Amino acid sequence: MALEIRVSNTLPLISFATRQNAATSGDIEALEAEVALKADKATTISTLGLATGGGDLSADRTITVPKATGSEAVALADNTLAITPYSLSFPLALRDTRLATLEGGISWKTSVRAATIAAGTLASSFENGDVVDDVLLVTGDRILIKDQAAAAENGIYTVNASGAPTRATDADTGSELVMAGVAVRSGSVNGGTQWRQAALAPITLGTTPLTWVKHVDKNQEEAASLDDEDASYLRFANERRARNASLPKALVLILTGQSNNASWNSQISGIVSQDAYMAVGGNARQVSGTFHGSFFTSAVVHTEGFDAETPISGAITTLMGGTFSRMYGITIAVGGTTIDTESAGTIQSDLQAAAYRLCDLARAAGYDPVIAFCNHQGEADMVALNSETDYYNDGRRYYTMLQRVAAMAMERPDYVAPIVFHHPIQMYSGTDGAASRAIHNGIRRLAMDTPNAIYGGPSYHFDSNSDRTHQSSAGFRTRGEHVGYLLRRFMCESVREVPLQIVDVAWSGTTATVLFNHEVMRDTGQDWGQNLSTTKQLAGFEWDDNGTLIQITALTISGRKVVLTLASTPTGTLAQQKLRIAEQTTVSGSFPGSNNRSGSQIRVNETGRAAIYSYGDAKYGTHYRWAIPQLCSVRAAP
Amino acid sequence: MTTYAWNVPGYIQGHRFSDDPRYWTTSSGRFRDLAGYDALNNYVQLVAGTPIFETLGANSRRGLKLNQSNIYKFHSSVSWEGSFLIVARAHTGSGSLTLYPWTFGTADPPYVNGTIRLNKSGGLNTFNAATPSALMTSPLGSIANDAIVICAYSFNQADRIARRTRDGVTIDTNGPAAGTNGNHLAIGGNTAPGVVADIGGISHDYVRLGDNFGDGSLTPNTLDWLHVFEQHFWKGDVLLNNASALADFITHLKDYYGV
Repeated sequence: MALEIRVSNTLPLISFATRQNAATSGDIEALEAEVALKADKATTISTLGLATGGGDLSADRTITVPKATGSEAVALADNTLAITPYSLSFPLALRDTRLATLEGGISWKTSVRAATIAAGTLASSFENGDVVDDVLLVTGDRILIKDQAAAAENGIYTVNASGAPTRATDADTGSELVMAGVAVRSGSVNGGTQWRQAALAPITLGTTPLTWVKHVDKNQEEAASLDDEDASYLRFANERRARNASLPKALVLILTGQSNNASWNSQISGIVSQDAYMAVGGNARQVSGTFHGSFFTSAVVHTEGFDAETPISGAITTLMGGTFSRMYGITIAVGGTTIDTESAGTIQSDLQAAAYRLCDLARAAGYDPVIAFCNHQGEADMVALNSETDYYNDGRRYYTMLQRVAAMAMERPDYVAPIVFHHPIQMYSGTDGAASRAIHNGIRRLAMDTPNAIYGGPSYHFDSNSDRTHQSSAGFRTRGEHVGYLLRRFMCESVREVPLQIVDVAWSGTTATVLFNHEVMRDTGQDWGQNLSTTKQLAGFEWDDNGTLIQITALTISGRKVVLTLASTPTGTLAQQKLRIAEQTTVSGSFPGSNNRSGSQIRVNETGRAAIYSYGDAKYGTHYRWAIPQLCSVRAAP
Repeated sequence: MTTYAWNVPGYIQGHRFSDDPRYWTTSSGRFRDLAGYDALNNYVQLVAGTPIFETLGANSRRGLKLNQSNIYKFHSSVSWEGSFLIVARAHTGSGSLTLYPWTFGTADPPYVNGTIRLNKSGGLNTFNAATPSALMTSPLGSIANDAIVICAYSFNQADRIARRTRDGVTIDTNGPAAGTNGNHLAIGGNTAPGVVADIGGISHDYVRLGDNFGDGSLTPNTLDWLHVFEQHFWKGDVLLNNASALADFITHLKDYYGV
């Protein structure tokens, strides 16, 4: 009988088939060895990733992880090598080099005129008269030689009259060539490129091969230039906007138009302002010429009787203080000219002279200049019977030009200079005042359409002894106060004062209800706005029934409404009914004069502003808002 | 750091004559004002014809060909005094001639206005500036055909001197003559005060650009023309008061155009 104990199908552990006797110790050791071997062979060590050398335990095994050298780490090509701190230092160093490059770590040299595109003979290929990259070399040119067969010859050189070029003094040592960079100004191939010397330190000049690599190509330089340009412009724009922001403000007030250039030395009150200056020279613009070079190089303190102080005197009194610590004033005006003539010739030059120079004076005195205009104009255009359209179109160009000159003088592209629009009250000849009305309408439209315009309405400030075209000194002063008040309200208080105007007329039978934009009252205490030559008017109102005036017999006022009573019921159609206020008489050929006082007794029901200057005449004592001249269509009352 | 036009103090107007949308708007026919005053109409406006843009120079820059076939206008910012710089390239045929690419005003003939003229004489070209009454003497350098040049000028009412330079370093002057009220060769006439540009506010309120013969004709001239690349204007006299900054700007332009 055989007894066999098997551990596996292949190897009997103990075989008793042929032995009659028990196993020996040697048999047991052999068996143990076999078991152990079997176990060793059944157990393995696996290697994963970069490791190699695994296997079963039947033999000695060595596990190996291969590591990259520095160059292999920089090459970034092998996926079977491990990075150690030492090998990592090589790509890190390269990264730092590149970052230093981006951060401007390159040692930039003065640009060169040309760069080689092929090797040449150093002794003879780069002389005065030779051509490199289509650039004809001249003595003294800086050039980049980068393509020599003997790379140690490469570098930045200065062209000589003959013979070999000389290494440029900023690139004639090894240390100067470390991380050297240079831009190329000209050349068909290399013009506009930038190059960087790539050999690392230490460099032994004449021995170390110098390699020049293209740092920026032409197209890249274009983009970089634009980025640099954009950044530079942004800085400029921001700096310009913030410039002088902390400085005290000086108002530069420029009066243009007509009736601004009178000199009334002996009639001006003795008011001296230490903070207001009049520009020296040329306060009355010459029609045939312009200001000459000595004008506006200085300004003097405004004093009584200053030549052509005109409305600026009045403006000073109401503008000083508050926002403005100082004022510079000038008039650029000439009488008797239409807006077309006023704006022709050298007006733009005159305005540039005045605006640029006065702003310079303000800055030199430590102020930040701010420009505003007042324009008093219209009489000549009325007399010339110019159309509303022509006046408006000419006016748009003219006033845009004023604001452009102001913005450039102040160096503030976003600045829109305020302009006060002012015009005479009177109407000129015409069968029905149409020409004058056209100019009034043109001025009102310009005041609506011009940015930052302030419609000051007509000037009522004519004394009874004037012919209403040429004001007295007091009238000029009073008008100036009004201008200054309007500008102060707008520029310092952000309030655009609105003149008194009719907004609606409703008619039924012998009753007309007139609605104004402010609460109104009738003021008979002043001597202007009265005594229209027609007998049909009342307080400056006239009712026109198809060309025939119907007398207004009475009026009552309640808040913003004025109710007029007509002497008889008009016979024309609704469309033929017109209400006029503050306009000239319908008598043809009527000119302004002492017997014609266009205007209205209707004014805003308010306290008014006391005049600052004392003229000894009550009519100048207070400023009011009087009704502007209007010709109104009528609607049927409900 | 690069010095651009706006880094020279007093910058108030400037245009680059490239068809890059950054500078040129086809729909409106305008070159925008680099100084920022476009909202106040400080742009260059195409008036007639079609723009001709070409790539020129060592650094392949875009420029506008003015051969009489395309005419522009813009408002002047230096009518009384000021400084201006042009980057241009002349091409003239044989013989002597004078073109008036920049005419500061609309009066005829062109030379009664302030102008920047292209003169051909003795085989060489010059870009010379003139007031309505006086041409600057000793023209600003002579240039060969098809070379991009940079020329800067100034007219100063304070010292009544006209200045010009090609590099911001060497600055030529003209005048003054005797007299204190603008009676001056460079700027004014003998009796009348002088101006740079006889420009008003309405009908004469702009500079003509490209009307080389001053006749408004759009017939292309096949013999004589110029290219313009940039123009810039400053208040005051930068050639006198800011020459260093101007020189840096000109250096930048030279690098940019490969001059």
